[in-house]
Amino acid sequence: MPESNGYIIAAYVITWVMILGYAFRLVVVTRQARDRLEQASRVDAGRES
Amino acid sequence: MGHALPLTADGQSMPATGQRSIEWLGVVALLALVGAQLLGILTSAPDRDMGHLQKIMYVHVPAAWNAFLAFFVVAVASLAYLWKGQERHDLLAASAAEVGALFTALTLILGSIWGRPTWGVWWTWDPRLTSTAVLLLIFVGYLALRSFVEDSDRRAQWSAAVGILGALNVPIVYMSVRWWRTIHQLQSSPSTVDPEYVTGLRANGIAVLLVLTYFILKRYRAACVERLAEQLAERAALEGRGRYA
Repeated sequence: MPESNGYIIAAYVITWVMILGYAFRLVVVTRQARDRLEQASRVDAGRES
Repeated sequence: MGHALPLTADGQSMPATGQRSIEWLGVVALLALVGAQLLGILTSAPDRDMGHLQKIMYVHVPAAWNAFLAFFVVAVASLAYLWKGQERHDLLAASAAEVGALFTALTLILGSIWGRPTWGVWWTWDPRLTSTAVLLLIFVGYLALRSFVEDSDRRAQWSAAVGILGALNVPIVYMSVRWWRTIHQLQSSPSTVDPEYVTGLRANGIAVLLVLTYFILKRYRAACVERLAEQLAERAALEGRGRYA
């Protein structure tokens, strides 16, 4: 059933795009959260006005 | 802010070793997913009716199972928040809801790709498809609600209510193929599929479960750090007002 190959490939490609895309989002979210914590810690400690 | 500091304690108590364990889980999950997909693709014979299209089952069905599992986590964590009022339960529910929405969207997209060559349509207002779309919309609404409400207590309480109500939709989605007339096949599980496909289905189910666990833990950890930063910013703002008022 060679005509079905396109659907199978599309299904697996989309699965990987969504999984790796979300993994990348988690990296970005984690980095942003750390930056915000660092900034908030500095403000909290009174080193920034 | 009735319980601002317990989360701070939680956030600070997460050691670097916990972070490393989560990253290792991510590597294991990735390798498991590659291995399980290769196992499913390379070892299963074409189905009598669907031919090689059957191989979409190895991504579609585990995505659906794990989306349901994520919403179960949302329900349990939301109930725990309403009972004990600890913010870590609210953050866990939010993390699981985001990952659950991802896997529900993936389930719908893969189902559509599978439906086109087998049913002849990308989409139909079938009870299983429609109830799954409603489930996705509820949790997209849940995430939108969290971004609109600034007060953390109110956000957590409203989210818990929506999370529990949304998770109640899961049994409806699961049973929809038995309760109503539908073109969707009955629930796929190791007990209902051909024995030849059971190993591949189980392997992919476990691999996606590892991915789901990694995603939820990683998102939860980031959410704890975000909340800690929010608390520090709120405290600094309050003290600043006190000083200059």
